[in-house]
Amino acid sequence: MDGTRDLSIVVRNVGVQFDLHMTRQRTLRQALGELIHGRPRAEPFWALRDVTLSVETGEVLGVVGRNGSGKSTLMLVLAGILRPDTGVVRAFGRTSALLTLGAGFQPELAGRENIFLSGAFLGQSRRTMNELVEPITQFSGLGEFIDVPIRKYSAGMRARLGFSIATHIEPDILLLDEVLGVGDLEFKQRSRDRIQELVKRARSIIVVSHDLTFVEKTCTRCLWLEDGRVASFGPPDEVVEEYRAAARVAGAAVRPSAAPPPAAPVVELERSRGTRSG
Amino acid sequence: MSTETLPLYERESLLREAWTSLRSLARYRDLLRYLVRASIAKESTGRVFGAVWWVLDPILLAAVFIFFVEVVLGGGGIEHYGLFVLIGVTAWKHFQSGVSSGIATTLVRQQLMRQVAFPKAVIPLSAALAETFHFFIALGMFVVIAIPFGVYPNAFYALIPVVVAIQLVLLLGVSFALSALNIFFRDVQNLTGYVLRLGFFLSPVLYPVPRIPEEYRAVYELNPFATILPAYHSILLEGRLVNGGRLAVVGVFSLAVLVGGYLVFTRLERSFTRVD
Repeated sequence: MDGTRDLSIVVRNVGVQFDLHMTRQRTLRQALGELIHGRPRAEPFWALRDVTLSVETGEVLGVVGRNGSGKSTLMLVLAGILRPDTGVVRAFGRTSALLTLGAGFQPELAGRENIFLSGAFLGQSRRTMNELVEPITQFSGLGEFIDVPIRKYSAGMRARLGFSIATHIEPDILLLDEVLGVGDLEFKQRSRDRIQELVKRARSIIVVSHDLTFVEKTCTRCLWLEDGRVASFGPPDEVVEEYRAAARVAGAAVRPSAAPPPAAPVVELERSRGTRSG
Repeated sequence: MSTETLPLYERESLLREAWTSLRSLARYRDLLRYLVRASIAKESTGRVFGAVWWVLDPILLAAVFIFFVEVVLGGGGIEHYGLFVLIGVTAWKHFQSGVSSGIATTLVRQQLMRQVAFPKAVIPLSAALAETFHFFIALGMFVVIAIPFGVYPNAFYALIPVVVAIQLVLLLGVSFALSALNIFFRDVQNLTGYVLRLGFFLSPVLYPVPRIPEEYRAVYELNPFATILPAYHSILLEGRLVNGGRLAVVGVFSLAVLVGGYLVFTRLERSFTRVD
C-alpha cells in the first residue's frame, strides 16, 4: 500500500441524489397506483454533486458552506451512513463520527451497560470497552449514577455520558460536527480539552464549522461546499477568503439572512499536523 | 500500525454485498449480544412478575383456547389436549413475536441508522434471538408442567433444538424480508399482523393435522408449520418424531427463505437511511 499510505480518506466524484419522490414513505396502495398509472416524475435533487477530495494523514479538514449546501450530507457519507449514488469513497482506517451524542442508548439499561452498547454500535470490541469504562465513567462525572438505568437520567447527564463515550473511542479519522458544547460550564471546559487531546491523537479530522476564524487557525485544508458542489478546496486562508467574498456579495443581494449565522467558537483547537499516535 | 482498508460503498454484485454484510455482522457480534440482552431486559423491567410473563403468557392464552374448545365446542378429543395446545401456542408465539418485533424494531431503529453506521441486519436478528431465548425458557417450563400429566422427558427431547433451529431459520428469512419492506411500505406491518393471525388458524395449533379433510391435505401441508408443529407434538408428547423426512424438506425450504430474505434485506438496506 505504498502509494496510499499517506491518505486517510479519498472521495471521488461523489454524488448523492434525493429523489424526493422515491424516498418518501408511501402506502402500498399509492405504490400500486403508481405502478399502474406510471409514477409522476419528480425532479431529482442532488444534495452532493461531483464531490472530489482527499484527506491526508495528519490533516484537519474544515468544511464550510451555507445551511443546506450539503455539509451534513457529506458527513453522513463519510461516516458510512449514507450511500452515495455516484462515485467512490475510501477510508483508510476506522472512521468515527461525533455527529449525534448518545445515539443508541437503551433507557432500560444502566449507564455502564450503555457504555458497552454504544461501543458495540461503534464497532468496538468488548475488550477495548472494558478498558474504557473507567475513564469514561470518570470523565462523565456521573459517579454512582453510572449503575442507574438511563431512563432516570436528566438530559444533561445523558449528554455528558454520550460525549464521554464518543470522545474516548479513538478513531483514525474523526468526524466532528460543531455543536459539541454540552453540560454545564465546567463540563464544557473539560470537553474542549478533551477534543484537543483527540485532535492530537487522531490521524485526521474532518470538521464542519461556521466559525471561519477557527477554520483559518486550526485547519490545514478547507472545503467550501455550495449547492452540493465543491466551490473551492485548498489552503484554509484562501478558501475562507473566497467564501467570505461570496457571502458578502450574496449578503448585498439578499439583505437580512443570506449569510450564515455567526456561530460562537465552540472549540479552540491546536494545529495538530504531524501528530500521530502509535 | 492498525490501519485497515475500509472500502465504503464499493459497487458490487448483490451476492458479494450480502457476503460483505455477513462478515461485518460477524464483527459486530458484541453489538448483537447487547441488543439481545437489552431486548430481554426491556420486557421484564417495570413489571411485577418480570420474566414470569414469558411463561404465563402462553399458559393463559392456551387456557383460553382450551376452555373454548373443551367446554364450549365439546372437546378436542385428543389425549393431553391442554399440553397439545400449550405446545402449539408457545411455538407459534415464537414465530409470530419474532417476526412482528423484527419489523417493529427495525422501524424504530431507523432514526438510529441515520446516526451511526452499523450492519442493520443486527436489528431483526436480535429481535428473533431474544424471542428464541424466551421460547427455550417456555419449553423448559413445559417439561416441568407436563410431568404431573404423566408426560415425562424422553430421549427425543434432544431433537427439539433441531426443530427450533429450523423454525428460527424460517423466522429469520421472513423477518429480514418483511422488516426491510416495511421501511418503505408501512402497511407491511399491518398486513403481517393479519396474515399471522390467519396462519395461527391454518396451522395445527388447536387441532391435529388429520382433522383437515383428505382432499385439502396436500394444500394444507404447504404451510411449513403443518410439519413443524406436529414435530414438536410428537417429540414432546409421544416420544417419537412422526415426520422426519418432511421436516428435512422444510429445513431446506427454510434455508432458501433465509437466503432470499437476507438478499432482499441487503438490497433494500442501503436505502434505509434515505426514507423519512
